[in-house]
Amino acid sequence: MAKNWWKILAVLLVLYTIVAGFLLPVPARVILNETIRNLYFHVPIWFAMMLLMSVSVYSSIRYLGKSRIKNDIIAVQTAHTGIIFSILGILTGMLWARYTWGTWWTTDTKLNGVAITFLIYTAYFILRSSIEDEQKKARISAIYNVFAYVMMIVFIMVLPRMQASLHPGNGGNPGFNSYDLDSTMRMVFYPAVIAWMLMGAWIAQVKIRIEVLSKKILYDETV
Amino acid sequence: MLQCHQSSRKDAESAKSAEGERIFSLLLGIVNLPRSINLHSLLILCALCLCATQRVKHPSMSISAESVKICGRPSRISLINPYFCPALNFHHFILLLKKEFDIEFRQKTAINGILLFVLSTVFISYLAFQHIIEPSLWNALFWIILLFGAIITVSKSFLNEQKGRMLYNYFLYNPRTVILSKIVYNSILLTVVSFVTLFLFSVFIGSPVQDLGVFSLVLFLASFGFSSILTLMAGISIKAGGSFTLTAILSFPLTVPLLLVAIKVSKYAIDGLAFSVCSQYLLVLLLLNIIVGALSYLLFPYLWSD
Repeated sequence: MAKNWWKILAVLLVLYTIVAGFLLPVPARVILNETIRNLYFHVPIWFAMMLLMSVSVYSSIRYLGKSRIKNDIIAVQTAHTGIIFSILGILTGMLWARYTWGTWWTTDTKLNGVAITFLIYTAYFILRSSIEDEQKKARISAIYNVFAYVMMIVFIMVLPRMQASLHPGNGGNPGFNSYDLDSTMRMVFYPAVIAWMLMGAWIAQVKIRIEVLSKKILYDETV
Repeated sequence: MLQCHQSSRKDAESAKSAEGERIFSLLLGIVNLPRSINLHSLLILCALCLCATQRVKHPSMSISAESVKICGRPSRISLINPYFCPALNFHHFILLLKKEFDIEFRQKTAINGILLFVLSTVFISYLAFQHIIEPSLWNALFWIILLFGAIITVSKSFLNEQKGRMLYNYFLYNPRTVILSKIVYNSILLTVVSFVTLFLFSVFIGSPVQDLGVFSLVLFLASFGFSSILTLMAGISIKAGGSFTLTAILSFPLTVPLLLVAIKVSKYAIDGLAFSVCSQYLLVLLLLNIIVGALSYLLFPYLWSD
């Protein structure tokens, strides 16, 4: 229990996010209306994705330094979870865009950047599956992961802010926090951020443990 | 995060009200940042990459120490010194560059192959379009042909290195010398190819480019950026089994940021906009080049010492 309290906290906070996110009053804005509730889901999910990818690149760098296979397992499993979160983020964003912009998908730097990021990480998994040798696979994919992460930062944090973009917080658009995020929304938004991050960490942890166990059974060695 | 540091520093100077909340939301990264701050963030990213190139220890030390430990008797091995690593050497760099050019002039496969590729694709587009007046269509076609040409050119760059010779080179040269020479060689090759493509385009399809100076600057910068990304990816795919498809899969998504900025500036050059409009994007292109160059330079030794 002493070790697992954060999992209970994650479940409680996600429940709170869903219940309070749909029931508590939100400021009424033109066009946005009730879609503003997406702030509790879309934005924290992307934060969780960024956190997971950062952990992934950190353990890739650790792997390059120390060559311990545990670091490689962490890197690939967090990247897996991050991809799942990015798909969720894209889906929630699309739903929001349908009701505010009027389409599911439009030509927008941020959106295209996200799509390309998805492609980059898919290429990472393809690269992994094309190499047989365990150590070699870990080393080469770690190199690619570092490159991919920097490109992702350029893509979804830097470039969209330099060009015209419809996305809130980019290309001269105000972010939601500048005028919409009043105190009632904050009460849900900040717990939501923690909730989704903890959820991501939990999923990644379970995946890592499964992988470590299967390695143990396969090779009969502690990783 | 980088942007946050920058902007929170700026804020501390100016804004006074609701400091804590504001900084927190800045940390969340969803605040509307002015464009100039973004350039700063790119600059910081760039500086970080450059710092890392200076600071990161050479990996071959740990690797060779490991391999020696497997042998069991580290003290007996005098020929292969585990801590031996050739220094980054300008003379070696020139030698390796010369070697690349020598091989190229002897075999002439890469340059002839790529020129034939460019010629045939341009001719096919000529047959399809006759004459392109629409600038954005011209631009898109030009960059697509150039991108494919670049991937074909650079993916060959590690094919010449046989396994035994790699080991030999490993004891002779610093891996960073190797990657630098390859990047420079490939970027020279790509610059030649891109100017030939431009020439062929203007012969067959016609050239709507109004500001040729800016356009050639973009070509130079894009060639260097492409070559630094694609050289590392070619190395990776050679290590991973050496299929051409893998190079393409790995490098297409990574080249997109460069390509986007390059396409944007070249569109400006085609339309003949003032230099002050293009200059910001040229700077971004330069910074991206530095970032990808530093990354390749930083990561290649780990690939090499395999």
